[in-house]
Amino acid sequence: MIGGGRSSSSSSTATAAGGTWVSTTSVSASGKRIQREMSELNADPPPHCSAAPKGDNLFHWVATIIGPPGTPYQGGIFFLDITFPSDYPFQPPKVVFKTRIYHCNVDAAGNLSLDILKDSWSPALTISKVLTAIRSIFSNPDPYSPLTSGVARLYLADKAKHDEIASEWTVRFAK
Amino acid sequence: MNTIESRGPSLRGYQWRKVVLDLNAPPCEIIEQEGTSEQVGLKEVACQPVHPASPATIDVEVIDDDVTESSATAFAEAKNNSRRSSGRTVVDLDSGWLTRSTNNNQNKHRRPPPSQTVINCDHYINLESTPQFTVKEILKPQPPPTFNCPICMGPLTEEMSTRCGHIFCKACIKAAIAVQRKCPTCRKKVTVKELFRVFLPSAC
Repeated sequence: MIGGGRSSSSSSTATAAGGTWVSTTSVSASGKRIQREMSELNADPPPHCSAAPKGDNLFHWVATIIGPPGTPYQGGIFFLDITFPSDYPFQPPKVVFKTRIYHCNVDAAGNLSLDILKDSWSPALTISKVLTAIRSIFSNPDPYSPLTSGVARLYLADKAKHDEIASEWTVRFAK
Repeated sequence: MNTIESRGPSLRGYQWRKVVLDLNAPPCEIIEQEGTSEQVGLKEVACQPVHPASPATIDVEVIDDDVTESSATAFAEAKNNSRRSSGRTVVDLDSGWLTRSTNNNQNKHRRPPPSQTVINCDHYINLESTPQFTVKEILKPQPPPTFNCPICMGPLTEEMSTRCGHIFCKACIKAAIAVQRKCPTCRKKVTVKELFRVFLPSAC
């Protein structure tokens, strides 16, 4: 799906294998679960979202979210990197923005603060639900637990100005 | 023998009364006759001397026919069939129902439905031997429910329930509790001791 992912997939596979693969049994169980999620996503994808393995590695995915209409992110295509831990789904996947976004819950490196990806993670959650949650913080940023406090402050103080910058960034980076 | 003798006279009296008072309700009579016990075959013995003696009416003939059709051997055979094949599906042609034979079996023990008892005995359809039968059309509206574990997303193995009522594979929920003492579905507090085994109706 993502052409660029192919070339870099071999290196990312190597890092994943070196860092996180612990036991073969848990890998096969989480591999099965990831495969089932993949087929479920293909059958019934959440609106304006897509996700698929980057290359041959089932534990490394690329996802896209299209900015919801009525927000300054409207029309932008935001790429995300998803890395599944070897004990997925008992530990949350790591999700990182690959497209720059002006948002108080996403920092310059693309890390995002989302409770369900940290303490509120549950093994019953799926990538489909995570993508839906991420898409909802596009429409409703949470300025009270920000990663970029400057953006959060502007959002609370002058939402019009915040939205203007956000849509500028969307045009610049996400289209 | 005791039961037959004691039932015989009461049945006779009952039918005689019925014949006089109510000619228009044959289904009710059948319900009450068959509903009394499983021993339809034995009852047949008790009933047959009654009918020639009683005034011949249409109602009595109907009763006679119905009872004779589900003779002792046929009934026993049908019961055996439903017991032996736990995986066999029973099709009731009259109502178009498709039920698990185990359920059907239970029903029959409690109270055989008035006319279906007879029909069921005659129309036990083995799905394995007659695959071309239009059972699939009946099946379509209600496919057997299958449940997946929300953790592994696969079919449940050794399903266990939490105190809050959410069901997972035994291995999955234990691994989840080891990481986080919360129900994966509703986040209520759960401990391994509070898990209990449940048995869902299997699909096949």
